[in-house]
Amino acid sequence: MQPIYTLNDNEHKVTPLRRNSQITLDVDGHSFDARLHWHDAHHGEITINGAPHEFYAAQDDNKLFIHFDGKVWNLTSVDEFSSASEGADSAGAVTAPMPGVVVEVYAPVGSRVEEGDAVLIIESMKLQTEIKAAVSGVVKTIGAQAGASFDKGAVLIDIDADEATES
Amino acid sequence: MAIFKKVLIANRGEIALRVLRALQQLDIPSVAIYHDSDKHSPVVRQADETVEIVGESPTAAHLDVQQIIDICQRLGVDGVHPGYGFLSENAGFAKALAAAGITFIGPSADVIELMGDKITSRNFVQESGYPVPPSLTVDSTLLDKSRDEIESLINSVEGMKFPLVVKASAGGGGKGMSIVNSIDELEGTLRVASSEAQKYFGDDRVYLERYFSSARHIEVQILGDGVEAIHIGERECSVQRRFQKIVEEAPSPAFGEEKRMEICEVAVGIAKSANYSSAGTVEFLYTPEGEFFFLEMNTRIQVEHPVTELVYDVDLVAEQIRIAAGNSLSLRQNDIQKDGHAIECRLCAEDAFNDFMPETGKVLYLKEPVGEGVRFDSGLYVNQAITTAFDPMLAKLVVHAPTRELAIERCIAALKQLVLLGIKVNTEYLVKVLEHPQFRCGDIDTAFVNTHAQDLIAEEPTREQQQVVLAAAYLSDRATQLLLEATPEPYAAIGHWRN
Repeated sequence: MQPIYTLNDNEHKVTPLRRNSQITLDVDGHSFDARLHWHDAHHGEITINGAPHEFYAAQDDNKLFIHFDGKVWNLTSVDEFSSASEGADSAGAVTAPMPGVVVEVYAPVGSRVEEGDAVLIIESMKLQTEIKAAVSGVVKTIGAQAGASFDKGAVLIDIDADEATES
Repeated sequence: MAIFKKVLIANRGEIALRVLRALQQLDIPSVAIYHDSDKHSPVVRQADETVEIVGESPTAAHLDVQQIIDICQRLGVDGVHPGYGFLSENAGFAKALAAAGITFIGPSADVIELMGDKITSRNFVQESGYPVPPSLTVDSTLLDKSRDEIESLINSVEGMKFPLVVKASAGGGGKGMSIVNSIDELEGTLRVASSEAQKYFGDDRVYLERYFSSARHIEVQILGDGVEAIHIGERECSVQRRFQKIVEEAPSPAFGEEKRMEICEVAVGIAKSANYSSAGTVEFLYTPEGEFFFLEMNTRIQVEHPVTELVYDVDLVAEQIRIAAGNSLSLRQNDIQKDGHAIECRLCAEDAFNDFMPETGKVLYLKEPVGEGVRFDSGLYVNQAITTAFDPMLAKLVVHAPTRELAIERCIAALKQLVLLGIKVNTEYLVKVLEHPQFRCGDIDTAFVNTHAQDLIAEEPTREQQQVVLAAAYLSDRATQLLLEATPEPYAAIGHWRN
């Protein structure tokens, strides 16, 4: 999952760098520390580099609505990896959007996965991201083992999809 | 005091709820009618009785006179409040109710016919001795005339010159209007306007009026009981888009006391000439030269009535109901005292920064603004689908303060406080209007939105704002949170030793 948020027609990439009591986020190449406290299901306080900000949030599928600083910000989110996979030959294949290193393999070749299951974790440009199964089926290929590097466009995973889902 | 046994609210949304409040205050049992798409709306939950209405479309259901009368008869309803829009200015509806022994809460059918038709009302007002804009009624023979003949016909009307505006006689709410800048555009515009008028209003009569591009739209609130009539001050409604008002206020910043009295007394004179009964509004054009002309009369409660209620401390809907029940006016002109300033903003489901394109969506979260002098009239509820089936106006924010300056500040603060998530509304645009220097100094006319279009644009977000919004989005996004919750260890562990 690597969300890309569209805000005012511009795309922004937000990725977690590390997490302990707070989370370090990278937004468009700038990193900062964020801490979130929810007052209720929609009303929260987000502290960024020590400064608190009140906001309200609601979500409808991939549309996010944030009320902050006296106005509403409309965002849509797409998963860069699932959108990258759309162009792959096989419905079960996920290709690398950028070069990186495999951190951990959750599902080795031959194991059975359901759609949405995490198959491996990769690290690219200091960002870790989970690669999920786009379809249910059996893992056919793992592009690189833990610790190994891969190039942009390499097939990271390929899954033999169950027949019912391939149609 | 004579009063109704039971009143049916023939409307929906915020005005249905507003009418319900007045009925509750007067202790009158209420009936709400609703189309299936509105079955979860607050008025349906709060009215004493509710009846579903059906139709080919939600709007068709609300326009079905016979269905509504049947419900009235079945439930023993003796009064119907039509709100605004729908059947509110439909003389046929008023007549049909009367024939069934039910009171239409509004003026008599005759007065609706007289004042509701633009050509008839303009002639009536002119004959009564009050000023109307230079205009020319278009009959079917006009288009057969030569260009020279048309030009001399236009020139024969005193004060008539381009630009002109074509209006449908049966039109209203800004629909069926278009501006003609020169004789070259006239013929085509007239043909289109006439056929559109036929399509929308079932009446192809149109007329030409001189268009005052830098005039103000001023209207006077009237209350009459058929014998007496009083005014309850004026409203300034110049800030419009597509001939539809978006910001209204009372009093108008245009007037000194003398001019205010003059225009209000003309409005009272027009209402008295028509033996007007109920609440009504007389609309005027007010030119920079200080002239004013009668535009039209609205024979119903208006969207923007709350600004008058806040400044003059009256309940216009309750007054309508009392008068319709047969009571004479409970207020005299001397009772009407102005207190402070009020501003209303219409919240519309639209992309105001993109040519006011209508927006659809679903109400996911709503937090109404609160505070001293803040009134929020809305029929909104969480999970409500906002479709194009009805008008894009969702709610009205109205504020009252001791001065215009304070009212503007209070209104901006309340607009920023309002949280409505799930659908794009024009809140930010309204803030830009209220913050505009020309608005702040009261220098507004009906061209305001176009004149200042280059200023009324979305603000570029700062980097800090973007960081906050994107971080809040990422950390509240269900898709990413599932991921973070499911796999905490690798992130935490890797994050630590990597630094």
